[in-house]
Amino acid sequence: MQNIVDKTEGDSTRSDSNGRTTQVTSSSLSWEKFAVLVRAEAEAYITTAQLDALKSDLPRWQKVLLDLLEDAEDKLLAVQQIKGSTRDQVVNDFEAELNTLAMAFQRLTGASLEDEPAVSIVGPSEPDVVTGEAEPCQLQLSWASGKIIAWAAGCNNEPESTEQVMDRLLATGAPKSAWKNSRPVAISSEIKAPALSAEVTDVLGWLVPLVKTPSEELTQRKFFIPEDLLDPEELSATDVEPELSGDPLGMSARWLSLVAIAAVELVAQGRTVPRLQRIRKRRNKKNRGDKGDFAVQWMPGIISQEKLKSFADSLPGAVSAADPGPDARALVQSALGGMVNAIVATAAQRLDVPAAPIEPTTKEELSAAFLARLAGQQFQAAVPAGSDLARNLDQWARPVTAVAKYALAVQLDEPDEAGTWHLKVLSPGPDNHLDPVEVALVSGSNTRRTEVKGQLARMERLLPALLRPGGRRRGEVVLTQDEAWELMSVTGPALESAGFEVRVPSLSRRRPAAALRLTADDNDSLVGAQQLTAVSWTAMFGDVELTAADVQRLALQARPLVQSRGKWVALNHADLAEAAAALAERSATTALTGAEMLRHALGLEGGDVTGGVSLAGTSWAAGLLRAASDIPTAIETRPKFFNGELRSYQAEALTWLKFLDGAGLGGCLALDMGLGKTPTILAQIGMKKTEGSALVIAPPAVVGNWASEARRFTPHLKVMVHHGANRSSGDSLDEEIGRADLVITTYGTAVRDISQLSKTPWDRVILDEAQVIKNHTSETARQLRLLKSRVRIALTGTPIENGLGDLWAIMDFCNPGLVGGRPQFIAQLNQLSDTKAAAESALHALNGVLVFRRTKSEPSIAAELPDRIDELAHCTMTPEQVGLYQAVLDKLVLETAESINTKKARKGAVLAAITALKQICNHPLNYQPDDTDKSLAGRSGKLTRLDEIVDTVFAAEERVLIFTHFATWGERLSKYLSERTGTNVDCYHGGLGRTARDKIVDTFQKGKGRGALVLSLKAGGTGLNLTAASHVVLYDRWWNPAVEDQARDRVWRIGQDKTVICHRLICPGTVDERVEEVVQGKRKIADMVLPKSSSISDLNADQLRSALGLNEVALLTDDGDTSIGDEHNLVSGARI
Amino acid sequence: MAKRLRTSTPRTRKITPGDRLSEQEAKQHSFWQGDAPLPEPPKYIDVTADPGAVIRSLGPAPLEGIEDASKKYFEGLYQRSVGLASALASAADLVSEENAE
Repeated sequence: MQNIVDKTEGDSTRSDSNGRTTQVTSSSLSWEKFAVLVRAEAEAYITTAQLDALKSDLPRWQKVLLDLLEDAEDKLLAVQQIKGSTRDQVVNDFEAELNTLAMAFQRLTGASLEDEPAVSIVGPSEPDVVTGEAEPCQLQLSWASGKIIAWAAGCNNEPESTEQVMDRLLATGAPKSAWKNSRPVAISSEIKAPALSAEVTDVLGWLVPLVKTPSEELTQRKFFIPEDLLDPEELSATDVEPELSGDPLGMSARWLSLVAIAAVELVAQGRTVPRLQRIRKRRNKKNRGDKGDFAVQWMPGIISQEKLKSFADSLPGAVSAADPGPDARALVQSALGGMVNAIVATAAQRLDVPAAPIEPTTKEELSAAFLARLAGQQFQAAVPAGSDLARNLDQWARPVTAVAKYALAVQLDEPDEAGTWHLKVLSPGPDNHLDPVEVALVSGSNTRRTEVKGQLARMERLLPALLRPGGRRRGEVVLTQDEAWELMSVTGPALESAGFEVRVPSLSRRRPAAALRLTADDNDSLVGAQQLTAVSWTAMFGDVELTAADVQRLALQARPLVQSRGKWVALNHADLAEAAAALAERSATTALTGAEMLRHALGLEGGDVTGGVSLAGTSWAAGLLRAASDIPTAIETRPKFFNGELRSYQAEALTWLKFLDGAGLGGCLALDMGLGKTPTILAQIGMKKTEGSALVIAPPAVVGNWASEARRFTPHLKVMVHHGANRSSGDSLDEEIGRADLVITTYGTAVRDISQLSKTPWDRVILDEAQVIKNHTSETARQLRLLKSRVRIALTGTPIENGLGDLWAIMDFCNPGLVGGRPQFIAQLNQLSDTKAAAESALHALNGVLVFRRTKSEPSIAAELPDRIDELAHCTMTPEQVGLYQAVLDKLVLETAESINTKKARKGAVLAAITALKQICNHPLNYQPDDTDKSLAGRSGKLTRLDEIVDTVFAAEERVLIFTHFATWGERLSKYLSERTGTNVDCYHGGLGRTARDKIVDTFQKGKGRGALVLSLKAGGTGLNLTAASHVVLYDRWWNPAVEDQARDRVWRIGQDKTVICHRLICPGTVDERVEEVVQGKRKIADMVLPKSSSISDLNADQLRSALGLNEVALLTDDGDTSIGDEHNLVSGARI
Repeated sequence: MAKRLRTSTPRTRKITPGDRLSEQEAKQHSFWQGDAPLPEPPKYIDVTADPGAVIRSLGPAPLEGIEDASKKYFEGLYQRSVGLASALASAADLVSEENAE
């Protein structure tokens, strides 16, 4: 080592050409050579002459020694990170080197290194040691030369270890791999905090949102400890309680996070410029020759003075603790610049740039090298050329890197009466008063003039119109409408990004669609749907009304602008052309009826303008639409004369029904199945204010339901059920209708008695399950049109089953002639290729006026619904069923009276008869499977009702389970439903193997859209998960309600996200109804058959007939009622 | 790596008994909390629709011989930078829905 030192250029003696030895002063030595001497002294291999050279410049010796110490510390920290078998040896070597240098420092200064990192403090200093209450440790962040330094301490509190700091970082979501050991941070003269550091590029994604993360969240994250690491005995509540409270982030961390946000904001605005930075070597160390190291750096631009000041004023000293030195303002600029540079340099790494010249010497090469290293990579270049470029770039960027004092404003006034747009540039003066820019250029202070000049030049580059000659003075110019639009929409935001204030009239960002306005005024309010009225047509863009001439004039302009609600709106030429064409097409239409106007507004008369047609004026149709849009939103859920509470959508429907009533119009109440159409209508009928009765026409299965719901919700109404063989006719019918508020009948009965019913002036006629009349040519549809009524209402959950023709049939029944002809109705509403989407679109078009549509899938509706809805369907008995039922009962009575003698046999015969009667209620073929007639349709009221339910469920693209406790009947049903619906319907029963059963369940659950599965109550009632269904039909009843509940619970269970509707089918007046009473708990099984104190074996003929026989009053017989949507398939007549 | 500058001046000044405690407290407060309240973070950050507006406003960069090429690269870089800043702002929930569109 001695030799090496002696031979180095650092030797303090040098021989001249004459061989004389001269003393070399330390000042003539480079940093490297001086450092060699310092190191040699530390290692005690130094000559006297060399030592003298060091002694001649003690301050330099100390500085260089400190630099070497720093290097040694850095190296030691670095090697502590390495792993492997050689780690200990390497660490020992570096520790030895550090000790050697530390000893040298002690020899030189007389103080130990621990006493001194001798650094002068400028700006915020660390606190002196004072006594006081210890504050909780928090995560602190400091800024040091492009690095974030993390440590944890609190005022008067011991700093935490690096492991604890890392825990805190991870708890706040910091990336673990970014952090490395760092030199401890001196937080006072005596306390140093262990620290970790990370390159800002690596942690910016964590730092930016840090300040906005709620403290609670950070605290929760922090204290998440995996359960398996918790030892309840060791971790008492007192151990963690103090840490759980308080803010985990120190103010220094919050401050740096805010600076990071400011940096992101600047880059997001494009407010950054490049500069060329010469990379200086360490102190006293010069670049070799005329080459220097350079790197591109990205500087923040257009920073307001206020922002800079607010950051500087609020800077906690802890931020600069890791790198004391710069004042607050310089530190803000350093941190902001470092973060801006980190973002842009990262983006630049993803940019494909041309290859860089290896050793740039010319200006062009240097420029190319600059462009090739926008990501900040260092490169060597000739110092003069590099410095020149750096200086030129600084000068070029100065207008945005200098802190802005006089940000210019550009102001565009509203056009004057001649339509001229005046633009002027303004400059804020010292008193914040805005002067014309020319005034500032002429009479401002030197500083102001220079800055304004630079700013104006920038503005002119972005807004070249300012350079156009002809303005009154500099910075004032007249713009064309095209230029005005450009400024409001495109250039204005660009100018704002570039740091200018932009004052322009508001420009709407919305592009208004072309629409038409149909105006008609008739003074006679009684003029209604069929009266012709003079009309005029105009085009509408938002709230701007344009005549045909206006449209033509605007179409000729390059950038047509109109003013709407205080904002300028740019019109599209295509929209103007569309409006012009639509107006031209209607120019000959000068008179329309109210119905025609309404059809125009509803889009039923041709929708060739995107925005549709609106009505204005005092016409009947305009008034109607105004009334529809004015339907009160404050709704009454407990209407007068209604014994119950409506859900909010039902209450809305009620206000809509009142609107229809007021307008004398009919409509379709299209609530989904299960949403409660019946109570809604009853609430309206209950408020009866007009003369005349209401007539409800419903499928037989729901007639009983109507009657019972009327008794429940509107007990004050006089209700008459007009149905069955014993129904009234002639004068007595008229009298009964005259006394009744509500008459309920079936479709079949209504058609059969139409001649008499059509003579009655009904207040309202209501068709329940109105899809019955979807075929407008059917007998039922044609006959029902003969009914005279003030208002006609259709109720259906599925107004469109097969196509828009279904909806037309219903709408035309409700308001004959109002919606126009069928072909046009279908053509105008059928704008979408997807049938279902077209249907929903059509309903949407009419919704709120002629249709009130709500579905279960609407979140607001679903939120109001209970988890499940139980519905009881009263089904008819066909004559065939009645005949069979009576025959079985007669046979039982006869046998028990004549041939069965033992009590046991009599009991068995009665129980067998009950089963047979239940089968007959299901279907004749369920009782007589070997019947030669194997057809199913039209022979059972229950099956008819099942068909109706399945049709409705399928129309809604939902899935249904059908339970029966007769397995063979279940198989027949599944086959029948498969054929009828065209959808495969399986039957799940105990006779199937395990694999087959699993496959059925799997297929059903995975299926989408419409689907059905028949199950035997015994095999399918338990253990299965069939949540794909949202409907359950209990086709026949079982004695034990728990069994039925279990069946229903296959669907209504965890995992079900829809409301489940359970339909229970019973035949009133039969053994079925008595089972229902048992299920309801109203009667015990034994009581069903047995009079008090009797036994089955003791029953005589009368008792048997009373217990099991048909109750003529309650029985619903099939009087030729139609199956909904299947009218032509109906087969009537008894089959015995 | 740039080295920090050091001088021989001592870093700290010992407090003499005569110093007032309030001064010490103020110093501590300044170190841990800062002398003024922190600025409020912006509710939203506006992301410019014209990333190159600022640099365009400065005119051609003094990059001799490659003025035109530099425009193209700057434009691309500013777009990427603004995109990256926008992503950072989004992660911090600082981009309004209107701006995100």
